[in-house]
Amino acid sequence: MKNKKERSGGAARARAGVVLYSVAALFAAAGLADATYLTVIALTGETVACGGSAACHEVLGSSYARVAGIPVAVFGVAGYFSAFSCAVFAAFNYARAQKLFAVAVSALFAATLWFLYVPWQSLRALSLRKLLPL
Amino acid sequence: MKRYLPFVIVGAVALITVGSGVALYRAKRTPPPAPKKNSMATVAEGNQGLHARGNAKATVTLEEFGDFQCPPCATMAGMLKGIEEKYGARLRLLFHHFPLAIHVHAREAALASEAAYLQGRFWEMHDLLYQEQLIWTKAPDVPALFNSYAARIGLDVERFKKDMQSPEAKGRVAADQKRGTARGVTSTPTIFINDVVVPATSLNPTDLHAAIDAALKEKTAP
Repeated sequence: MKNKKERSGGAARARAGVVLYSVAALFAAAGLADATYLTVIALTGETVACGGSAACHEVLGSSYARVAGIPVAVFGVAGYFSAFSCAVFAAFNYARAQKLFAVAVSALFAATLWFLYVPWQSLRALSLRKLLPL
Repeated sequence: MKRYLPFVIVGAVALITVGSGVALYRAKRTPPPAPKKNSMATVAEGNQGLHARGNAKATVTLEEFGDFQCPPCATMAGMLKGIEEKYGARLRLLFHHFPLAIHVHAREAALASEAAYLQGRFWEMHDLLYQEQLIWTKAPDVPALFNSYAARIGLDVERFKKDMQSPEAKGRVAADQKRGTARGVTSTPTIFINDVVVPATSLNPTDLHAAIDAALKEKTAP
């Protein structure tokens, strides 16, 4: 009896895992599409992505926008693709993929925090320059 | 089959990503310059290349002394587009640089357009600089933005960077300024229609149309 309950509980957890990883894969795919678009914009030098916002240009034109000459969006593509791949494999119960998915998501989360800090820092510098014209 | 399904999904998404990225890149990237006749060329007159747009044998020549950082010049650029469309082959437009000292990035912008000219895309850069004026004039790293504009209009960016610093580009901008000063230009935009200066108070569509019509009438009168 107990065995049957444990089995059904395990199956429910497995189903929940599949749903969770599938949803994560969808989010990662959306991020991948966005990062791909931003990469193309960076490579073609297009500026309309900012919609005429000088503050947005302040960030895109800053030294944080590229790493060793490579647009940061390229790293976004790599990150989201890794997360997507891991989520798909995890949904199919590949044990190692679940661990790698956690690593990929943590890296993306750290990158998100970094990119929240960068505009704040750039805009703060811009505001200071406006207040203290040298 | 289920064993291979994640590989198929991941592979398909990788292919879609690369494919759509390449397609988008091709769509966004401006095609390389095609040889053009008359319509948008920089013509050689004497030994100096002038930036001319329109019919070389047009009845009316409208010359502008402009500064890429001056807001009324950007407005004028839009106005002139409409005028060019209206008058078609009867009008030729000439552009001369007259970067004002009060505009810190104006000379740099003029050099950017000259560097674009050296790759046959002066007018594309001219239009883009006016179109994006509000953005680059406020940017802290203006050269980086100009480089991105060069990439956007399909220029060789490394060559563009070198050409911006070249004596040729600097000489051409200086020659235009000298030409303007010799003709009494002190502000921008200054417009000449068939060598007659248009008063600053008449730099509006109605008066410009009237001046062009008058010049047309004068030339076509028996």
